[in-house]
Amino acid sequence: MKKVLIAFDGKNFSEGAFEFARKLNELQPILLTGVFLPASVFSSMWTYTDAITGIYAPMIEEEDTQKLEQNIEKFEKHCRNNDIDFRVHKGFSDYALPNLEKESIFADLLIFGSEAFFENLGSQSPNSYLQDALHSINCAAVIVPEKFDFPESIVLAYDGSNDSVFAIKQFAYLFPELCDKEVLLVYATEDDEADFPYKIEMEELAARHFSNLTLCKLNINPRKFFTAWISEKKSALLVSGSYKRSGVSQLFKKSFIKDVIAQHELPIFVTHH
Amino acid sequence: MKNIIAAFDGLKYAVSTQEYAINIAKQTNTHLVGVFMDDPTYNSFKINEVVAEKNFSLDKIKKLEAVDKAKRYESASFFEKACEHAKLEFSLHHDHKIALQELKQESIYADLILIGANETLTHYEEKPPTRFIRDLLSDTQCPILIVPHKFKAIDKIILLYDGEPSSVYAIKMFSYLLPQLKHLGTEVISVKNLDDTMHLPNNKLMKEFMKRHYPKAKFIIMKGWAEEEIIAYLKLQEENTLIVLGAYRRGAVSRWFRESMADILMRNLKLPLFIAHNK
Repeated sequence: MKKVLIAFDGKNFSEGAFEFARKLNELQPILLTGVFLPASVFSSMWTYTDAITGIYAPMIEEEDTQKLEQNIEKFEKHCRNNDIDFRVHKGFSDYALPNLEKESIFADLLIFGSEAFFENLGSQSPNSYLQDALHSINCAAVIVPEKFDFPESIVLAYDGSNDSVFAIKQFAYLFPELCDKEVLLVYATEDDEADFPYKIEMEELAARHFSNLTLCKLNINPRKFFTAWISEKKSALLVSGSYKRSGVSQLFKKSFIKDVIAQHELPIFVTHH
Repeated sequence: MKNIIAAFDGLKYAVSTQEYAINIAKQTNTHLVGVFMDDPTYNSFKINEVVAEKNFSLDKIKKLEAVDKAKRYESASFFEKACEHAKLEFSLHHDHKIALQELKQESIYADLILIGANETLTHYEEKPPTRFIRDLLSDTQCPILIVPHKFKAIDKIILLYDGEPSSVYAIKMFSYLLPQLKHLGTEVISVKNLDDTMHLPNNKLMKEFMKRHYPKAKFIIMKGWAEEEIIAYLKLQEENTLIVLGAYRRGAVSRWFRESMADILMRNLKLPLFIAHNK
């Protein structure tokens, strides 16, 4: 039995994220905790630089509070209709992110809707709020687009790094029910000669957890074409560890997961040490 | 199915590590990997002493090396037989490079490593925590189960909880990796400062979480110095209690001032320790 958090930003209710939680509950009963972050709080976490770049801070409005209450009602109704054991955590008066961070310590998984999460903060996807949230949480996360098919296959993105293997292991621990689906372990590289890093070890590990496993090496520039390639895999879920990077290195290399999120076509499982 | 490593020094084969590994593998759905750290810089003889002897010859070193090789082979086949006897799925790895580096590399691709508390990978005897174990703990990529010198089948679990993310992470990992041990009696121990209340840190969230993972767990809250209270409590336990704790990787600076809880437990107790850390 798992404890799953689902984060809503108050104003937006992500049907996609809820649908994913509903499917998880069908596989194995979960406790679903709805975390409702008030729409007003994000102004308090802005830094000056953000403010200068021209995003205006939305004011706290009556309307938002109403919307929040409506969303909570909607969530409760959805949960009851689908027989999901649930809790509601709300009323965070000040900083939203530290609260989410704390909640995530005590959860197995966090679900975000990639489009709906703090949508009004900017059109660029993933917006900086989602990025900050991904960096600071203490459990694995699934980012879910609004429209998707529940995964029938799993794509494991492996780049030889500790983080990518860590993510694969965490996925196997959290979703034993999905481990017998068709699984593709992908190593993407530009180098024709390069073989899988630690191929024997990786295969040994992956084969224990996934019964229907195929290894696949893509000779493409991972950052440029991976996104296009992955979007052809219908109803897949992507597992990736490459979210955490220091700020400096992020300036130079865009995390390629970001592209996949930006095109939001697949649910993505991310986690980091 | 989990991929669990039992790590051995082939020259000083730790029978208790083998017994713990087989005992756990039998209860869980596990593929056991026997990793034999055949470090070429480490032999049973001291090279400087051999060279200093009067009738020194290269042949003599070769002979001594052959003896070590045979010994390592013998240990591996001992493990092999034990696994066959227990009807387990298993494989063997012989690591022929520097032991610590190789084991850290193996840890990336493993779910759990079992290793004896007394492993030193040197000629010297060291009391736990040995330098080898401490180095391994500070930079492993998977949780480690450190087992004592004598085997006792595990029949109780104690989870140490201090409200920090890493203590909850350790509990999560233990729950994911060895769900088959959930039927055992489980206790959660927290130590609070003298002037604190007797509430569990983040009481509501923790209870909500634990209800999903260990619904029958008993919560025990004590007051005082964490190190002293925990040791005193654990000393009363039988030798078949397993302790779960997080947070090994503290910054070097903080380790100068305060020893890690894991070090203290290894020094004072002979209980199996499950250690996992995330950051």
